[in-house]
Amino acid sequence: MKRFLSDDILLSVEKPARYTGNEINMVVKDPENVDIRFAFCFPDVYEIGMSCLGLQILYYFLNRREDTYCERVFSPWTDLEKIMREKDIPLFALESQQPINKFDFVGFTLQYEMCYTNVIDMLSLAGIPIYAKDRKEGDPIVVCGGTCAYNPEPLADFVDFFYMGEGEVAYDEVLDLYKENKKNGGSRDEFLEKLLKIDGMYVPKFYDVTYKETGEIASFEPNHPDARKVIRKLIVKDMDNAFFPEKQLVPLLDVVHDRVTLELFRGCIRGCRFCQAGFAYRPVREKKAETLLKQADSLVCTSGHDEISLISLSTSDFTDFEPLANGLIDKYKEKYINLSLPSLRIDAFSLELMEKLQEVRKSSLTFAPEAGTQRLRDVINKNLTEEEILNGCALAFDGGWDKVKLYFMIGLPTETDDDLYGISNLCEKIVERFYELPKEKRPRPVSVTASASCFVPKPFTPFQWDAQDGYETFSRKGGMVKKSINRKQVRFSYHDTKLSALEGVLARGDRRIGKAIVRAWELGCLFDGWSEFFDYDKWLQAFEETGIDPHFYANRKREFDEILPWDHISVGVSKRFLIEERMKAERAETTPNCRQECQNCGAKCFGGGICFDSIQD
Amino acid sequence: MIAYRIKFEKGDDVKFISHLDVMRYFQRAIKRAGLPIGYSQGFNPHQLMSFASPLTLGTTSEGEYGDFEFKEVLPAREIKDRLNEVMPVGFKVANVVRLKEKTLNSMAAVDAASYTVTFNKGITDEMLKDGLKGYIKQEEILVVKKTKKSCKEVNIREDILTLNDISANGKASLYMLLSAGSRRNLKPESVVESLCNYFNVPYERFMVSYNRVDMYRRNEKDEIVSLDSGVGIDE
Repeated sequence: MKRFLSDDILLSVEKPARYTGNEINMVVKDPENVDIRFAFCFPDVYEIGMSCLGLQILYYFLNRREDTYCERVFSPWTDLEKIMREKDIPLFALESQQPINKFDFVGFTLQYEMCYTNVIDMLSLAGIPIYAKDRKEGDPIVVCGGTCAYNPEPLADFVDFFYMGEGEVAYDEVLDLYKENKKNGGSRDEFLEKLLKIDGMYVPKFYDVTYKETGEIASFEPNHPDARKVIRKLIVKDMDNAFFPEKQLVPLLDVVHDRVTLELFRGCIRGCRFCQAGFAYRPVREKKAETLLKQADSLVCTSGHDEISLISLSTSDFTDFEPLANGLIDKYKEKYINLSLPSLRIDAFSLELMEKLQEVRKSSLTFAPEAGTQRLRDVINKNLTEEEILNGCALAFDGGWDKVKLYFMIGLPTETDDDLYGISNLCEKIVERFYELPKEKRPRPVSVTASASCFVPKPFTPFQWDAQDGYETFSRKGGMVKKSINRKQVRFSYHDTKLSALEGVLARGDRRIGKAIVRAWELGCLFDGWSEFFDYDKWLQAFEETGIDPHFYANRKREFDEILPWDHISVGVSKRFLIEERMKAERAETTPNCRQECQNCGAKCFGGGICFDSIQD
Repeated sequence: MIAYRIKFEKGDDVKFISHLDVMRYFQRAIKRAGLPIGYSQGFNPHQLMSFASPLTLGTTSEGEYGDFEFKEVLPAREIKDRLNEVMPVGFKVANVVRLKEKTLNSMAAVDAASYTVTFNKGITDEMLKDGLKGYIKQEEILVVKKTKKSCKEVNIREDILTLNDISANGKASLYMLLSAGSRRNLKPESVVESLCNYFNVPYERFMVSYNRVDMYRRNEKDEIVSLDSGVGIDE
């Protein structure tokens, strides 16, 4: 196939295979023979994007339609980006190696806020007008989905419509509508108007916002008769019969997660109060173990991968977790296929399973206590006691593990110095547990690696009204914890505090910050999630030049009755429930999980999932 | 374990895949094909396979080699077909031979490699026609070899085993057979660089496209033969 980039360009950039396609299981179609061309854009580098399960699912989902060709586009790495700008080379899709500026759809998946400048950059590289209002007939329709789309407002000016929720539900309807509109000679605007009839579609231009003098939102109203007051996300109710690809794209270069990914369920029963996914993806919907074993089999055969990863928000909460894990281990052991369990909860850990996993290959052991004291863990509803953590570690040490990774957060609501010192105390207690083992059981010294991220309040969580710490406070707190660690077996590090400060602005931003994102991009911001490129000072300059006060968004406590920028979006969970949860947090009161007792959070409105399972029990 | 030598092509579609990634590609292809590959012992078992001399990024090849150890005997033809079935684009298995006992592995066995080199600019077919004989007649061809620590001049003449003008249709091209492997090694890029010097043409990295034709070993009679020749058990 003809490559879009010349050999001399490809040989002058890092990892040229990022741009040449031809991966195993790539879908090949004749672009001339389809009605709809869809550019699936991941606004980060190839190796990150190719590890995204959502991309793998939607890629095959869209391509199962004969009339549609879905192709992949990733952010070119900075070396190529520079060349493309110098030589005026437009952004192109990997499959057909053709520019995307005449595609029907350009879709972005928004997995994290720090990719927003990359979205702008990709539109610009493609030669597509950045602002939705500047696009003309013949320009692609720009659509966004993914986790960050739940607060669509920061990108509202650049996007023609947002798809709220899970892609399998309504993309067929959207594409059918588009095709019909195109056939009848309908315009872009007509298509966008018709979209308003489909659940889950948010078209920003059909809504007007006004602001109070204090900067808060005064009103947020539809300006079109068909535009809904509230747009509710879409979910797949029956995961066993939902579309799931039988194959997976197998990249030709080493990517972040290069393995078979099995999605056990969507949603999470836990309700940790800091976790956006825990609320935004409700309710829990599981696949049957039988379905998963079948899917594993076809993915293993068609990919040739040597690892299967079980993906979900809290894998060990899967109802049939043990039989599934055992089934997979027994089945694939002799084929030298490893099982990896990325998010095990320490309280549900089984020694038996650990030993079994070890038989095949040993992977690292990771726990997420999130907070250093029981009080603070209760505040965030991380239902996990110190004894459970220590016993879990002791079991692991006894099973021959000697490396423990721990994840914490600093800057959580109600946090005190005691909670911060609690982090170092907990790490040291884990080390002490290790030395309680008889000497012959510990041939190597233990290593405890603790890392803390800086808490960022997110939309649709009980902490969505909270003030975030400033980066100076984060740094002081991080330094405090670091200094308080006395054991050489414990290593502590904390995330880039300025990065978290910016994330705090973008996560709860409104429509007005869009211009700051463009300005930051004009000043050269790109790949903001990459510490080697992140330039906080440029962002501050962009905020200043566009008249945006970042503290207004990140460090201000909101009242419960303030109109939030994402109030017109519904993830099913009610505001009333989030307020109750916020008040319980203040009292360090925990909430039972969905399997223990329904709290009537509102997710029942979808008519499926765990909300109805528990009634049958 | 039963050892097989696999000769394969790396085509234009996959010429930007690095050596390390080619190995990973084959590990997965073997799994997709369901071939009974052997595994090493130990905590991190890996597939028993090794590859001959790595290919420079951006170079195509008609003669790459890998040695694979299988747990059971399979007809060579079946291995070839099953692999080709799961390698849709760019890679193609050209030949499979079951190796005789105690055959030196392909990585250690390589003594030479042949290339075709086509000039896109700089050197013309006229220049080669008039000047290549003079170039090859030199007793010494000095090239500056850069290492991490120093720059030194080395004589590459002895490592150019064959150098022929194969220009056609007005395009300057060369066929070269060069020393390759762990004992003596000469990259085609070095020859092109010294040719540019000789013809007084500025050297640029992208002025040529390279294609490896085959890799060779020296047999007992010191003849240069393909890596898959004279090592197989007749089936």
